[in-house]
Amino acid sequence: MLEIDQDNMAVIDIGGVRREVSLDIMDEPVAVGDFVLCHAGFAIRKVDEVDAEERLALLREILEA
Amino acid sequence: MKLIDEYRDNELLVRLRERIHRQARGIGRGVTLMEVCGTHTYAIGRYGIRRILPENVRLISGPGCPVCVTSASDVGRALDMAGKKGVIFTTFGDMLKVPGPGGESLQKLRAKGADVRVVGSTIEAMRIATDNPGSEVVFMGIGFETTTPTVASMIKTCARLGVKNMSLYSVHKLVPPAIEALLADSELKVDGFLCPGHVSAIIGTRPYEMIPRKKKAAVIAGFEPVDILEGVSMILEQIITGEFTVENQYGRAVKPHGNTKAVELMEEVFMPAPSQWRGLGVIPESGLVLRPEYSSFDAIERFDVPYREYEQEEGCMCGHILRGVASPEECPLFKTSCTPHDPVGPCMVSREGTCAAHYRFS
Ligand code: SF4
Repeated sequence: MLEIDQDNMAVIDIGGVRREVSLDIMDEPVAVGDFVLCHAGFAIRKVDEVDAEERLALLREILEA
Repeated sequence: MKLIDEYRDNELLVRLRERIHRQARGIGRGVTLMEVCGTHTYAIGRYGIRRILPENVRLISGPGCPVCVTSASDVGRALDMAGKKGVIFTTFGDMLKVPGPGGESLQKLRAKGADVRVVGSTIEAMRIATDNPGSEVVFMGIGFETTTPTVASMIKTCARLGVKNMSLYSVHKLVPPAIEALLADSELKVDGFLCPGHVSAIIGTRPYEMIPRKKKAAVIAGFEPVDILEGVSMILEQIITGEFTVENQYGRAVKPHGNTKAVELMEEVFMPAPSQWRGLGVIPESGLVLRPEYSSFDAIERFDVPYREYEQEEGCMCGHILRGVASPEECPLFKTSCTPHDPVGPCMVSREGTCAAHYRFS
């Protein structure tokens, strides 16, 4: 997420491409720098980076065993 | 790219694959897993997931592609609306090529002069309405719980800003009732479901609880190769232990409660109604129509387009494929008279359609 304006619209970067998305259906606060999941011009959820890391670590552990 | 590369890590994939093969050997018998999400259908094809699974693990696609499950009668109604004078008909791109009654499609209708426009979001559709105050703009709302809140948001904004020349033709559908219908289908032998990541980001994990009650595995998974393989492995583990529950592999985007604001928006604007699914027939409470407070935005009422029964395309096996009881290769038209370029049925139209994915990646 690169920018957020007053109309609750945000500019996001998808692999180098800039896109405008609406934050109207988000139920959690978002900030510039967050990763968000988008669908049809709307951000639908923030991506939980902590959860992502923990799960991957756990998966690696299971696979080591 | 962050949050993507980790999920395509080769070493991790090799190990996951080894684990899946070990689990499958332990199970011994053949197992069938079903995904019910077009994005999964596409990703599974794109990453060649089927080729790396053990022989006794079959992964099939269910009714997860929105345009595929739209009935011929609903396409017919869209054509009736789009053909009206003074109407600008807007919808998502996939819908345009879907063959309706008599092989007619929105795309063909457009070639004959109808004003049919593809939009990437409901915000674009609304912009068309405000830019063309002299025209009636219809948006055909199609899709599952991931898309519907964006349409609910459009309706609320139209109501708030007094955009009067906008209306909605809703063929929106709900995923859990379709899974329920599949679970009741005695012809279908499925041991576990790979539940859709994006839909679950909105509805959360609870709506799938009827799956373990039927002694079948349920795992919500993301869309990268590691996500899908980990999801498959988690399903196999449930089959091995016999302890069936709803598990969430995609915790980075799916929380147990989902997106409460999106669900509330959806419930405020829409209410459940029976809906006709291609292949599955009419499923009670599986579609969404506007609530009375918003019925002034209902395109069906505004244009008074009657419902007509249409049969599905002759020879097309989409209906069976969507129920998971046939594969595209069993359809005599597959790759012969039916190709993505000239599709006979809707499963060949969208890149998320099962036939299109098999055509492209096998
Ligand atoms: S290959 Fe074409 S005709 Fe056959 S089931 Fe798929 S979409 Fe229908």
